[in-house]
Parts: sequence; C-alpha cells; structure tokens
Amino acid sequence: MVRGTQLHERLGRLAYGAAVWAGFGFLLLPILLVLWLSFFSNEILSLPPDGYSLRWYTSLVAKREFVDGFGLSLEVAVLATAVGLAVSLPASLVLVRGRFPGREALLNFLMAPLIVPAIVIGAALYIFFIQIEIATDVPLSGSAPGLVGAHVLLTIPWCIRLLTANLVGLDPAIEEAAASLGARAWVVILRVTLPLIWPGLIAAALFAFVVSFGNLEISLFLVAPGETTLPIAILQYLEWKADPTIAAVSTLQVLLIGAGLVATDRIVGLARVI
Amino acid sequence: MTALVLDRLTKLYGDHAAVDALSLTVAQGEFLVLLGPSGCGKTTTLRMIAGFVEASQGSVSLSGRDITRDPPHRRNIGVVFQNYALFPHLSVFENVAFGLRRRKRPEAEIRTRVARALGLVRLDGFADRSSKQLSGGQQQRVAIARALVIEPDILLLDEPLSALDAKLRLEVRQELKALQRLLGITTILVTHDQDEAMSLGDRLVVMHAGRVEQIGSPQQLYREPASRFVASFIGRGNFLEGTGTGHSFTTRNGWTLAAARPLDRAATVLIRPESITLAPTAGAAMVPARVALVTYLGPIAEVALELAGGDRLVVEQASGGWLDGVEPGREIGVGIPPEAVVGLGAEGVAGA
Repeated sequence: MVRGTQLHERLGRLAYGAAVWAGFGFLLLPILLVLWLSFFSNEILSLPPDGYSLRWYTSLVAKREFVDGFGLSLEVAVLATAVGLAVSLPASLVLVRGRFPGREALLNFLMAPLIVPAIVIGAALYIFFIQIEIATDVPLSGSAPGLVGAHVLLTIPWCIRLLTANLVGLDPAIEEAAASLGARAWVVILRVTLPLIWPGLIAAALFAFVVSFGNLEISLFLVAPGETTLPIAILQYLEWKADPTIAAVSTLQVLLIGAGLVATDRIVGLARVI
Repeated sequence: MTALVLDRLTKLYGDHAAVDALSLTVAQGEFLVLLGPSGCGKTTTLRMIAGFVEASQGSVSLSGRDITRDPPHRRNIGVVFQNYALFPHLSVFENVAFGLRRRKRPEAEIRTRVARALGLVRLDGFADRSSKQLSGGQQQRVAIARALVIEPDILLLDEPLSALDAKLRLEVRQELKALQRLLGITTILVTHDQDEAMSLGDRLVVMHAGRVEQIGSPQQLYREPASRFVASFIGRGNFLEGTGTGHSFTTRNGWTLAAARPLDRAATVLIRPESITLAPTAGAAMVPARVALVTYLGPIAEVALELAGGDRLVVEQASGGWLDGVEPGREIGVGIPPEAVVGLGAEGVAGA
C-alpha cells in the first residue's frame, strides 16, 4: 500500500510507531529490570549496584523453601494440566459439535473461573472444603487433591478456549468421512480428531501449566500447613527480606516458561493455534 | 434388483420439513442424481442415507436391511464430499487404507486393494505422497478411491465436482461416469448443476422444497417436464401463458399455436429455444416477428424476438448463414412445430 509522504501522514506514522514501542517497553522493561537486579551483589536492592555476582543463583540450591516450592508447584501444575485437558477435551467436543439448549450457558459457566477473581475462588473453595470436612470428615483443605482440584478450575477456561478454537477450524466432513469408512465414535476421535487438533492440545497444555504454576491466590488458601508452592515461597520471603534472591527466582521462572513457549512455538506454531 | 429404498423419509427442523415424506427406489447399479436448488433437501436426503443426519420419520433400506437407526460406521456406504475431506495427517496410501484398517483386513490384502483402487483413479505412484501435496482433482480422486476400496453397497457423492475448476470438472465427470459403469456400483449424486445431472444420471430426481417434483430420465425431464419448476430448472424455455382448447393454445396476447397433444388443462406452454425454426422471411406456417437482439455464442446464436401481439421468444439457432447478418429491428419468420409445444398445468401439474 502506498502510504503517502505529506507531513501529517509522516507525523501520524511516527506517532503510531512511538505508541507501539512505548507499549512494548511498558511490557518488557519490568522483566528486564528483574533480570538485571538478579545479578546485583548488594544485599539490599538499590541503584546503582555495588557490583555484579551470581551468588543469588548459587545460594538458591540451599534454600529449601524455594526448592520444595518449585517441586510442589511443578507437581500441582502438571497434574492440574493433565486433569484439565482430560475434562476439557470431551467438553469442547460437545460444545463445538453439539446443538442443544443451554449450550451457550454451559460454555459461559466453564469460562467463569476467568472472570471471578482468583482470590474469591480461593476463599470460596476454602470455606466450601471446610464445610465438606465438617459434614463428611473428608479432609479436603490442605490436601493434595483439594489443591490440584482447585487448580484444575483455573486450567479449564484456557483449555476450552484453545480446544474449541481448534475444533471449530476442523471440517466436520473429515470426521464424517471416517465414520462412513467404518470408524466408531471413539476411533474417529482417536485417529482423526486428536491428530488434527494436537497443536491446540499442546498450546492448551502450555497455557494451563503456566496459569497453574504462577497462581498465588488460590494456593494461599489451600496449601497444607508447612507446605508452599513457589509463588507462596516468594511472597513469604519478600515479607522479611528484599535481596536479589527473589529476582533470581523470578528470572528462572521467566526462563522456564519462556523456554516452554519457544518450544511450543517451534513444534506447533503458536500464532497458528491461538 | 433393488439396492436402496427410501420410504416416506422425513427430516423436520422444528416445524419446517427439510425433507418431506420422500419415497424413492434405486435399482442395483443405477446412477441416480438428486437435483435441485440449494435448500431443496437433496443434501439432507443424502446425509440421512449416509447416517450423518437422523431421520425424523420414514425409513432407509439398503440391500434389503433397514438401516434407518444404524450409525454411519455400520452402514457400509462410501461417501465422497464436496471439499474432499481427506485426512490431512495421513498419506494417500493411509487415506485409502483407512476403511480397510477399520475392517481389520490383513496387511497384504490392504496393500493389494489400495494399489488397485489407486490404479482405478489413475493415481498409481502417488501412495506415499501427503494428501496436502495433491491438486484439487487429485485429492478428489483419492477421496473416490477411499470410498470405493471398501466395496460399499452404495456410493454417495455430495456435489463432488463443484470445488474443481470448469475444465477439470468435465474431466473428472467423465472419469466418474466411466468408473461407475465399469464397477456397476449403485450411485447417488447430489448436485444443483443441471449439466452435471443430465450427463451423469440414468435417472434424475428433481427436488423442490423438500419434495420430489419429478423423477425421470434426462430426456423425459427435458421433453416432458411435469411442472414449470422442472421445465425452468432443467434447460431453458419460453413460457407462454394463455388457454388451451383441444390441439391448440391461445396466448394472452392472442397468438394461437397448434400443438401435437391436447392441451385442455394447460395454462402455460413451454417451447424450448432450439425447437423453434427461423426463416429470413415469413412464409407458409410461419408468423412474422421483429428481431430484438442477436447474441453470438460461437456455434449457436441466441435471437430474442418480439411478435406482433406482444409475445416474446428466445430462439437458439446454429450460427452462420443468413442469421449472421441479421440486425435488431428486422422482421423475420418464426415457425413453431406442433410437437415443440409442451403444456404445463396451472398448479404445476402436467397438462395432458
């Protein structure tokens, strides 16, 4: 397209470009700052740095709360992702292929965890779990199934969004062709539907993992006494110390999730499925 | 022998009948075409036969067994879709082998049968290609091979040629016809394209608003349409309104035509454009008409005429000769052979 060379057209383009770069800067600068801070040698965060050091990274290995927190977060995120996908896949199939009254309502219901503030979900679940415990003696609060179950709630909207988006793009005639050739419903799903939407499946898994791994608000209410996920460990550490340890932990977390995003993009092309 | 019987097959969407009590019998080895405008119910009918859409009422029997409530995978029906619907994640070989693998055939048999099916559609040597590397025509051939390899009781084709460009469409059409003859497989094709329907079908079913308008050979539908809908949907025609008495028909504008058959109940007559004769001057058995427009179309020329009383006719004639020099405004002679006058009833019922 010819874009014009009159003064007001050039100025317009310049302003637009500046706004875009300002937006990028606003998003990226805090992350770059954290990265920078994590290499400061100062005990107390201040500018300019006294010098640079890797000691905040090396000392992490010895800090149990972070190592254990990372382990628990990883465990919860992996389980919540797996369960979230297992629940969301059949739900997405029904939502996309089915035509029944209440379909829209069901979709909105499954999206709800995205709208309700996580802290409210956390508090509500905590009260709910306590009530169940009082009524049945089944200890849900502070239990692993309780925590994972709560995280599954977080993963569902993301899984449903990505899976339905991919299913909508899949020509139903391909599934019908498979059925007419003798494939039962579950064979069609296994041999045709899943292989064709696996980019969406991978992307859904990644996003589910990220929201679960980074969640603080729900975990705060539901972890067992003495146990912490990584975000809780970070919060607790910050309450009495403000050294670059936190920056180092955050940097590692950003790198881990960034690596996941890059790997997913290489395998399935994220831009194509989101 | 009867291959397929549809008995009062009906599909309701709410109060609306997409297919309304459709009854039809298809003979073994027959090539039947369901023809009609979009929304006439032809595709819904095909999808009920395939089992993709559940019938609201009525039944479908295939080779003597009632399959109305059978899911698609138990019907043994080959389906070819408009947009090919190949499995994009599988090779050409695995696409064609899909149905045989579901039937748990031994590997050696699968290899032979897939090779034979690919040979039938002239795609030998394409087995290892990805389906995404093929042209539209090749993809549709793979889809045909995939449907045929399972030796279905019936082959269903849902507008299989409409996604192809015009030249390729003719080519695949001829191949399809030859293949159907060769294998003698009972086939139902759905289309809105009358040329496709006429060239492929042994019998045509013209559908309109969920109902059968007329069933017959291409010749019958063209020569003796049962209604104005069929007459205007298949081929082109001049429709003149008026009243019939015995072997004559008088148009509203007062032009009286002689007809070969009695037209007592006819309110409209159909005259096909190519059945009209033209002469440079009005002679015996000819009436004078003024040329309104001549459109040259290569082998034929289309002449629009206006008669003295106000009736208008479109005539198709072989181009060349005296017709090439005719300018609008000139007076020429028009003759209507009595056998070319086809009566149509007032309510779409054939007039005698």
